[in-house]
Amino acid sequence: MKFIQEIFKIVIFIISILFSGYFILGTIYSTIFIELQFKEQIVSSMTNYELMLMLFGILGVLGILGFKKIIKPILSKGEIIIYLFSSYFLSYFIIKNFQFSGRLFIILILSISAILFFLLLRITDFFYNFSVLYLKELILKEKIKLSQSISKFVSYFINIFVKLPKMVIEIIQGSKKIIFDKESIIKILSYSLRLIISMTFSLVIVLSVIFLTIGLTGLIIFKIDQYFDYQNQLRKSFVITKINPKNSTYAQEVVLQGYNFGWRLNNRSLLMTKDGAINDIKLWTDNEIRFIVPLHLREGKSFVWLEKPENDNNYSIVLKSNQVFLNIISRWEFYPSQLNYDSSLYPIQNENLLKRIKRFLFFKLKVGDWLSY
Amino acid sequence: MNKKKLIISTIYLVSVFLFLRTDLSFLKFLNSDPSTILFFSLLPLMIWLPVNSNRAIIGAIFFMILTAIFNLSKFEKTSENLVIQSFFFFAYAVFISIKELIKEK
Repeated sequence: MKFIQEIFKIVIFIISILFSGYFILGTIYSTIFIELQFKEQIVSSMTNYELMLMLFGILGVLGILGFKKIIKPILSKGEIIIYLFSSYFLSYFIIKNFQFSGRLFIILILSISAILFFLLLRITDFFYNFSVLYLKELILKEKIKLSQSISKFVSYFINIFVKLPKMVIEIIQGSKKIIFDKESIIKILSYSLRLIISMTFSLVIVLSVIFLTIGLTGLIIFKIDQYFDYQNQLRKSFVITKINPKNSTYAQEVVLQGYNFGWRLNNRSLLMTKDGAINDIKLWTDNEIRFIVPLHLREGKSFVWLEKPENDNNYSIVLKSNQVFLNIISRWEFYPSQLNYDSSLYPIQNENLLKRIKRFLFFKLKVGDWLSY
Repeated sequence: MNKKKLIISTIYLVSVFLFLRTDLSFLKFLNSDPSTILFFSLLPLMIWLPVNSNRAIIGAIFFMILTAIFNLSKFEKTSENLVIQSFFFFAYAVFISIKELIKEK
């Protein structure tokens, strides 16, 4: 268990150093040497969201691995300022990507940067006091064994060399005695076996670390490359990538995001459902459409897709995009019904309060997609 | 260079570059020139490390040589960025040397 943990430590150490170095050098390079860019820089072409996920992963793992009780962190003024800066920047980056509403912004920034401040202290501690004691002990033991066995092996070898001229003379004289003693051969064989075994153990440790780092980084780079190929293909096609929110009710705004929606030139470009076209469209741009959910859609799951003519010609082919789900929830889940109004306890009724909370969660905080079943 | 300083500065650099990718409204008073923004984001680190006036001047000269090379080979934008960097490094060195002079007196 300790063995695996320490190998994991080394792997994370190497990966985080590689990632941070590549990211820093890549950004400096891409800001200054604009005209000398490589065709596909992996880090600079990563979106913020993916970077954030990667950062979360590395920060989380480092935070867990570097978890120790820091008794009294001795920090100079400059260090505190740098830590505060970096924790603020990181928290700002994280919050901006989650797109929280404006009210919570300051509170979230303060809380997350406070958490990150201590996490960064841990991480610097982890890198500063980086040690793999268990592995070191193992390797040291093996080294001692190895040196002993090598010395014995060499001494036997020298013995044979001393005996060699005698043997040669004997061979020349034509004596038919068995030249080698059986014992010496067996001893040499056993020592060479021991040497190989002790070598293999330390070799296995080194090789496993090397293969794991190369394999993991290679896998990550390969996956990212594949993902960007896919994204590039998406960007060239007429496709809806995202619908936000997925769960909504009548008369609420829904946003479609995607690529190549085109500009709405005539009435032939439509936003379609199985219950007919949606006409109340607030915004139609090349990669975003905002519409109000009309009353003529049925409750429950319904498909939404886009149709547009290939060109301005009236007889051109109509192109269809992919279909996305839109779940329409009954409006009585959110708003009070007549039964609620009629009851004597109306404003503080149990059901009504629940509906109010639901409205707050779905329409103010916009976290309905996380909560809905 | 100290080991701890190296670790903290890498953390700072990663965080700053992540921040620069999200939103530049914070640094809009700098007229949103990427090279200038890069220098000003590195400035706290340079003050903290601290970078001497001599070192800063060496940096400025390094960037000047690079600008000459890139300008000769007709990379206009790159040479502009490098000129901006060298200017800022030079200005930084001058300010630091003035500060040292005042301290001596």
